Amino acid sequence: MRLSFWSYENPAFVGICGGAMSLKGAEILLVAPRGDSYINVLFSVYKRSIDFTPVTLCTIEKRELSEGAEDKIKEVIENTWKDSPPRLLFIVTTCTAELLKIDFNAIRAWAEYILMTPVIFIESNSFTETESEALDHFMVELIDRFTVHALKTRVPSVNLIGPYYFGFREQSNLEELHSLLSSLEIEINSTFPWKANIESIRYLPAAWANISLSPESSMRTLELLKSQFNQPIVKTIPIGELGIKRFIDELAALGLTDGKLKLSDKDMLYGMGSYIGRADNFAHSVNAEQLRRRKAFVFGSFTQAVGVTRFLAEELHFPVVAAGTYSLALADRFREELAGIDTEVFITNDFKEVRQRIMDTQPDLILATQMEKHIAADLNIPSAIISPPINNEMFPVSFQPIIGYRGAAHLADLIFNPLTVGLEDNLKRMFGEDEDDIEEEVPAV
Amino acid sequence: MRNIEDRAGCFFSFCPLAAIGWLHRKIKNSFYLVIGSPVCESFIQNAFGMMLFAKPRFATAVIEEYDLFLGTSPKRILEFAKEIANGYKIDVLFLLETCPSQLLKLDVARWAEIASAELEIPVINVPISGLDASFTEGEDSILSSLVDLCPSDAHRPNLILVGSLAGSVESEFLYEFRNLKHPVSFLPPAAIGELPSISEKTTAVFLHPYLEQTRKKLAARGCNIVSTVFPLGASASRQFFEDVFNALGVSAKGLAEREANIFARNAELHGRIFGKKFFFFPDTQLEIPLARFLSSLGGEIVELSVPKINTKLLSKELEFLDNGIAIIERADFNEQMNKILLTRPDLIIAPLALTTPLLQKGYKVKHSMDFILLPIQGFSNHRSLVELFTNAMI
Repeated sequence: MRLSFWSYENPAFVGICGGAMSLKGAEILLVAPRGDSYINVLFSVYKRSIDFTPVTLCTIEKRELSEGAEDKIKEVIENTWKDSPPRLLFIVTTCTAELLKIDFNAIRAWAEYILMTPVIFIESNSFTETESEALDHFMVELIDRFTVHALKTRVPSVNLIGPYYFGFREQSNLEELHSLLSSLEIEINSTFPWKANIESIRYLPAAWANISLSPESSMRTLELLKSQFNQPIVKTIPIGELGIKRFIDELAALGLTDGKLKLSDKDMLYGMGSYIGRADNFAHSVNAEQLRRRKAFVFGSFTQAVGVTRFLAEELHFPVVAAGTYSLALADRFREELAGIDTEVFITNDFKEVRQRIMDTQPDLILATQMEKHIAADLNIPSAIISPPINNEMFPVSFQPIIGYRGAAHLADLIFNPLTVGLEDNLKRMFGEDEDDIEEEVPAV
Repeated sequence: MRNIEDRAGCFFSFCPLAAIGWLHRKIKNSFYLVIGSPVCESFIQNAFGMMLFAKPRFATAVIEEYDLFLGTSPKRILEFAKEIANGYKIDVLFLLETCPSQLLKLDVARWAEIASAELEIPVINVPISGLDASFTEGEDSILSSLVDLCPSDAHRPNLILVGSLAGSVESEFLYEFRNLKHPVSFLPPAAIGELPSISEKTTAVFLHPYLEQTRKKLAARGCNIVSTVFPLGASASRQFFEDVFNALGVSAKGLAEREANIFARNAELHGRIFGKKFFFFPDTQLEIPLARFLSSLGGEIVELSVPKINTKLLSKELEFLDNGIAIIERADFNEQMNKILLTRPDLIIAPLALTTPLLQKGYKVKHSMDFILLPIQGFSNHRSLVELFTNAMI
């Protein structure tokens, strides 16, 4: 056993349900104690679009412990879908069903026969597997099952691997990436699992290369596609203007584009084009100049922590005192990515260690997860959320990407807004406060 | 004979661990250690959005793969308990069982005894799992464990109000009972040192219908348990105070006038309930008192389903509930969705998991968690209780 006060990673079934919920036309059968239907709470509370993936619950109660659960599961499947089978059905379990001896593979085969529709059961381990590992596993299983060899598309195209329901600002990032790629005249062959269906999974191999905005949860999938279908992996994540430049260079090196953005006059005036260079302009402004004598602290999931640290250090010249990640599996790559940056790199998934580092380094701004936001509030340090785990700020109602040109502009705002760089605080620090400003102590009764 | 049917169906509700969400604020310096899987941990962290403080009042002893084969030594739990006691000011530590801990037959009760002896604070085993309990029953399990710690040294009659209440409701009830000769106390108390004394001279009143285990324990200790309704709405509040005063042999004054005044003041608001159709999904076990309340204001109850019926605690509620209303225990979700199509309710009272999906299908929905987390009891909350329903129908 281990003692945990807070976990940066959700368990496996969140990854599998999140993946299945991201698909089009899929339905989920959750076999679990009824409390585990909180996945539906997560799903529906943060839902920003009106499409809806039904989750049907087959509850495990005391009776199922003695009498077995097979009959009940079959009954629920028949009652729910006999007359209207979904296009794709997932059977998902949590720790309780895993501990019981239920032959899910037999149930899966039976259900497929009865419903005459593909039924998928992904064997997961709630005790060892994390959300991101499970999502990767989920994608690998679907590719194994549905993908065929296909001719490459005529025009250059890519797959976007890994965007899914519980991703960080996924909808906005995808919109921005779509604009960026189409201005480079690269087509999106398929996104997976986001809005994917059996057809689109089948033809994943038609793309020239694969892009992932979240290597945390897609490395195995990317490697599989690379080895089986000869699709190279685009490694750069286009966060920050320099990040975008490296991203375009990488796509050009793979022969997908000549690297020149094709943008209409309209785009340049009102669209993505009008954002090109904004973050760079900001970096050369009196505002950004103020940042240089402050120091930032970055912590988060691999992708966001790398992207934000590099954007701060290389583009805004905002010193980063420490940069960390909880993506333990990508520790080496994290160190590699930040090798050129003067900062203290650390890897941990213990929030108390992160808290200690914050106290030791005394940063002026914290860019991290929801947990560090609470720590920051406690220590009275400005902060912003730039990373999962799941919280409200990952799912803005409006368009707020963090990748691409508009993402870079948004990041500049996100970083600058929490800071009070006005004269007032500085003057207070230099000359002290007015008597009115000092809160009177409440006399003890 | 009332029509009660147990469908033994699958329905959505929260895990009983959710009770930590309100009890960690209610009982000062209490700490909750969940003996569970990463799934339990993630529930606590996510479902309630409870991480409001960088210093949480709960943690998880996460069962790892090797525990499944090698078992767990009590030493490990003791280490955790010590680490918690060192990092936080705690007066009481609850060890909460879960579905996986029960399936693995972990001996949490013994761990609690060992830790209690070592730490010199109460360490309390809470035997509960989502296999046989839902949402609000977590509070029941915690309170019934607390009963074991209550002293029995009362020399004179006392009154205990059982069930966690908002601070404002507690003050109101203390005010109502200000002229009693009985000392009045609460279970759960504001601090573990203030546990009420329980004896045969004790009169207990229950504020929630889901506290069946606690009721059994108090009855076993010889308490006189007042049979009454739950004080939701002005009429039920009048009935509630009348019943309590009667049980204590005190005469109640002016209650009927207050009820009448509240009805006169809110006539227009009540009109918005009259003739409307209400549909209850099973979730909190407050469904029966709430349906009785709406029905008394002229609302039509088209579906009344509950996770469980504790007939002893609900006996008076069932007397007052219109006899034509059928009750469904453990309803089946698919059947209920079909019933919604047939009955076209004006308002659906649903668990949080279903609220947004139903709203987006175009229904008016009130999520049931508000009935747990907002002050709704007593005369002064009559209007806000009605408004919880009317606002959701706008």
